[in-house]
Amino acid sequence: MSPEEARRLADAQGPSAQPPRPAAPQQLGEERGLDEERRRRLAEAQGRVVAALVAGAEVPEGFDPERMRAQSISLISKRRAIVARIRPDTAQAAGPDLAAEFAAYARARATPPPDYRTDADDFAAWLRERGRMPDAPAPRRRWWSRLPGMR
Amino acid sequence: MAGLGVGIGWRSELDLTIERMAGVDFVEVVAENIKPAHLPESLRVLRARGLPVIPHGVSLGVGGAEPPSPARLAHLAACAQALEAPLVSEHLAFVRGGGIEAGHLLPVPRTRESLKVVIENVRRAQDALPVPLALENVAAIFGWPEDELTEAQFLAELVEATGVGLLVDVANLYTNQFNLGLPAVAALDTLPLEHLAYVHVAGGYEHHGIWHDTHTMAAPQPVLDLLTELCSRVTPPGVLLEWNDEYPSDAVLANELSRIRAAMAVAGEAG
Amino acid sequence: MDLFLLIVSVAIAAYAAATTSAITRAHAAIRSAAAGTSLGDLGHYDLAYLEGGPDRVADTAIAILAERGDIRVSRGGRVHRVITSTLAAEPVEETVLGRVAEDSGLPLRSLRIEVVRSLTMQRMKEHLTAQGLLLPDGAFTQVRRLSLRLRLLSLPAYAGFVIEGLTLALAPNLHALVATLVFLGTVIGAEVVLRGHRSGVRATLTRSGREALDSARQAYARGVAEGPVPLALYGVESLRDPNLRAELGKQEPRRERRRGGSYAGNGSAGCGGGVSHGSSHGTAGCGSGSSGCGGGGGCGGGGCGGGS
Repeated sequence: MSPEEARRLADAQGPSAQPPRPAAPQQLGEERGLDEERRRRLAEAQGRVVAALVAGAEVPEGFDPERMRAQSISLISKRRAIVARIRPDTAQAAGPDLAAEFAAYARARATPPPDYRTDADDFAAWLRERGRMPDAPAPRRRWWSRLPGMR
Repeated sequence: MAGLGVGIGWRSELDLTIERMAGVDFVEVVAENIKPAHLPESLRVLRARGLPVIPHGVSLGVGGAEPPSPARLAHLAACAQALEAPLVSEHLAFVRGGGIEAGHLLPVPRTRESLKVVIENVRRAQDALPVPLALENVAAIFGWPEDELTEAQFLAELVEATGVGLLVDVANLYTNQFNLGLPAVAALDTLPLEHLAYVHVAGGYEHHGIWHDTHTMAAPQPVLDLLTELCSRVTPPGVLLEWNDEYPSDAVLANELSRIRAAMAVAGEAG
Repeated sequence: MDLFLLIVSVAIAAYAAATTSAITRAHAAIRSAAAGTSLGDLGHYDLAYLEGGPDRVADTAIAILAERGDIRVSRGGRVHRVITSTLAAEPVEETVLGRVAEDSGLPLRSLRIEVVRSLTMQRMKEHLTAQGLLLPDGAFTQVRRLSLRLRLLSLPAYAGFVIEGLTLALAPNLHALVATLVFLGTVIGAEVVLRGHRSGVRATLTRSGREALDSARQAYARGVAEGPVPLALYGVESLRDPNLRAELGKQEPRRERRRGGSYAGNGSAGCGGGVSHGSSHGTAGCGSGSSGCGGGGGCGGGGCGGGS
């Protein structure tokens, strides 16, 4: 289809008008079996990638280790930014060493955090263990930071 | 033509900013951040003005090995209904593996084999949703050794098999060109743009030779140039500015919308 | 017995009268004391302090920064950091920006409390006191002692009134009657003066301070002028943005809403420059929840009961 034709076709449609969906072939028994097998292989492959990125596992063969490391660091930065918003007291306590401290904490984790809240609290505990945070629990601001839509 | 226009990603921090900003035609809201039964007041205000609000999911993982979770699909559907949205959008990505949440949108292996799995996932998602679904291309830092297709080819095949809509993120196309050498303009030629639902524009930064698509900065000129390229091939129903954190002043955000409009207009002049 | 109590009642009444007069004189002296410094141009934050104390200064700074776009206020009264290159010009603005940068998204109430308690605010108070616009902290020490004495005197007067009142009811005689009346008079007089005293000690400005505020109000008419000074004097009602006005107005401290802003505590027209809250509350004006003298911000020292 030429660009002009494509444009004319697209212009004739609104955002919610879509071409009719192609008919999906029925999944026969054999097809279902193949589907399960494909999913199993995909699950294994993706599991290895996630483990390498988040749980410190070895980078699977064929992947660019530098790129995987960069992705891993990017994920940690994202977690750090979110933790700093949920628990600003940890960001304040760590000060300019926040990146280094969080990276060390993330490396030391035995299991990946189930959610950001737990991640934040665990990081606070990590800082407290190393004497970087006062023993008092999270400041009074905590209650409102749980509100939906916030953090 | 009924279009969405130019819009901005809704964030609760920006709620009043968005309400008072001129030139916002539609918004997109992260579905995981809202409760359909108790919509934020600001969204209700926007809806009362007749502004389209599109729910955008970030955790479905249609690119994953598991079929999409019925609970997450139900939530997306409920958001669409509560917002009377014309469509919902998600990503071509996987977000979890081996029982661990990655906390990020990761690129799928672009093989014919994984394509079959994704096609099935998308069909199941479409069955569960009351409105059309659009999928967004993601920004990748790494690729899979077994990749057979380009991302655009993968999406093209996916669209042909399922009729799913496209949410083309030009910043992500730029990221993949920068990081993986996947030419962005060639992607625009391969993507079935007649299925374009809307477009994302966002900024990021380069660090040690890698482009990080952070959505916390103004869109660089190359990304806007890509938008112009896209607009010379098709008139997008909508173009949305994404800004997720480190928000600048209202003036800067309004200026971004102007830059987007200008980039779109350039295509009109040239074409 | 009743004669004895009659003598006691008169003694108490005399002592109370002397104390009352001392209290009233002390309040009058404090009210009229002029510090005598010539005022340069007071900044809008200085005026805000005179008008509504640390709360008003904080609110003015937050409103100015929000209107300028250096901080962002969202629904629910949250204050967010804005990535911007502009620098704060004033110390109190720096304090606000610093807190918001540390804790973007904090509630307006928390931000206000932190600014009110900040070192910047303390310095402001010291500066205005040194300039003779604010009454120093110890201004009321002596008169508080006097009023305590009056309160202590009123206790036996109450007791005496009850005793002699009962006596009057059960075994009336002239001594009991007079004693009861004297005790009653003492009690009433003491209560009136003490109430006036309580409202008097709320005053915070010297005469120079009140004059500075008055001339500012004359120079910047309410509802007409725009800018930082009307914000300082009249509160958020002068903000142009209705949403911002609503969010900041909603969060005004309860004290101000109830008493219509009696920080200045002077008796000039407009009843102490009460804060009106635009769309949210209608006019607080004078007499909102306050009856003329006594509780409200209309009277200053013992202007009602005792002499003035």
